Amino acid sequence: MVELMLPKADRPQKGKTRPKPEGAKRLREYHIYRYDPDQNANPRIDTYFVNLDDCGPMILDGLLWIKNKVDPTLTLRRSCREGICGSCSMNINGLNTPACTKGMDDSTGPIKIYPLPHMPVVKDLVPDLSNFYAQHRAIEPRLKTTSPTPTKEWTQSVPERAKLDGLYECILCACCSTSCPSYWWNGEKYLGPAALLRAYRWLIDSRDESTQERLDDLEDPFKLYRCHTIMNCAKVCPKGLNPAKAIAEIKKMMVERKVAA
Amino acid sequence: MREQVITGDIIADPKTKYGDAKASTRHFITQRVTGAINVLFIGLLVFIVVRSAGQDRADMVALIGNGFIGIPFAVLLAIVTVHMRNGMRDTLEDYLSGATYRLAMLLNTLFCLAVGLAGVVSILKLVFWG
Amino acid sequence: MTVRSRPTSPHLQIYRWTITMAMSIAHRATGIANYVGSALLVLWLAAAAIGPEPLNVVNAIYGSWFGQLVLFAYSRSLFHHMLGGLRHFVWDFIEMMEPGQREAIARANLVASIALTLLVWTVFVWVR
Repeated sequence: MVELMLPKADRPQKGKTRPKPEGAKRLREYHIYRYDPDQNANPRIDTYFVNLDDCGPMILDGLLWIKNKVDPTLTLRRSCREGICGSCSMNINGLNTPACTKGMDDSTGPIKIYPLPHMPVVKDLVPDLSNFYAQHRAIEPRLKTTSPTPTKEWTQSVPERAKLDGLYECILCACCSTSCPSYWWNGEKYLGPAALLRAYRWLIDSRDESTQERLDDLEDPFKLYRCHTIMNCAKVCPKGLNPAKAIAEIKKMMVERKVAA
Repeated sequence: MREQVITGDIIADPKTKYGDAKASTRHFITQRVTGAINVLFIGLLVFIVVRSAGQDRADMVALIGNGFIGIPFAVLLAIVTVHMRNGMRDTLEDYLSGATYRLAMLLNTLFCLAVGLAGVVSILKLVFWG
Repeated sequence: MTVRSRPTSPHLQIYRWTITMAMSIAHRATGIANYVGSALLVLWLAAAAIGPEPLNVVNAIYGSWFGQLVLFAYSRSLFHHMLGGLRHFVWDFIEMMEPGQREAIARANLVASIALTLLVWTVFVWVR
């Protein structure tokens, strides 16, 4: 039975409020989800104030300012700080996004920060993405061929290559999959938008020779057909990709194959 | 029956199936085709309801009892119940699993069967026996 | 050292509503309403098939203010679900999926279903 509400022990409670930095003129309030695996306690929402005159413009800048100046225990993933690595994705003011590409001036009022939704939380803003990665393994994101390997490279025409635009750019930030209610309720069995976008990228690669086998593997009421075109995935993708459209293309391939048979 | 525990290895295996693969695409197609046909049903339903809502039985026999209206209406109603069962299956798959799912699915089938049978038999009664 | 199992991060409680998500839920809700509502239709047909007395009873109930309210809601639900189905049909052909378009078609679904319901009731019930 699906749980629409969080179990009691998982519900965030009101946490601590850190004092405002002394002498700061321009402040921004942050409400941040905290969970400490070493404490037998509920997660909590802590309040911090960031000195805008001492901090960069992005939300990630604010989080790192807090970590460096106020509370070194605040835990988050980050690396490139420019929307390339996909590490710092989290739920900011209700929508999933990498913190590094989201400006503080995009919103007013307190900035509310949670980990990516409906994921097991390792600590603070760090979710466990093991299943998310396992789902990418399941769609075999690599060239699969049966013909003899050419002496040089597997060639592809320019128009064939162009079909992969808008598909290959995924950075595995998991914003889309964790924005999807279907993925919330069936996150183990449903492959989710990110893995299915990648699956479609290989389905239409002109060099790949396992299209039918790939379709056979994807055809399942849970792996593929949990997508109900809710469109949250397409809305939040930081790279402007459209997983919902890719999934619709896969379903169309399934139907065409069935009708032709 | 205990539910299967889904491990990372099961998720990562490309061959894993969680349900009936062939039926899944068939259900998808059926749902779209019956849904499109249901637009006709809505049209006919509005026509029938507008003409005979609150009317005497004689008026209803005159309208629905006409085979050119009653028979298509009965066929369309039967198609609606297929769409109902399929749509409810999708919903149940989202929220339930294991034995609870199977029980709910059984009730779903029975309800749709009951609605379909009662509806079709009633319409045919009006058509053939007045 | 793990003292408790990992919590699930908040989801429905904190996620910002999008029009496409709201219309997706509305599609499911109206689908379920139509599912239940089909019993109302069959009850009416069965009463007519059985005889004048049961039909009079059903007509009295459906004609009451509460009955009319339920029928209004049922018709609204049918129209919403029909238009929502057409929206999904369009999407299944990979049309109207770009940013802006998908929100527009979801909003159109809502507006058109209300308009169609009011139109049908106005033309056939209220000013007849």
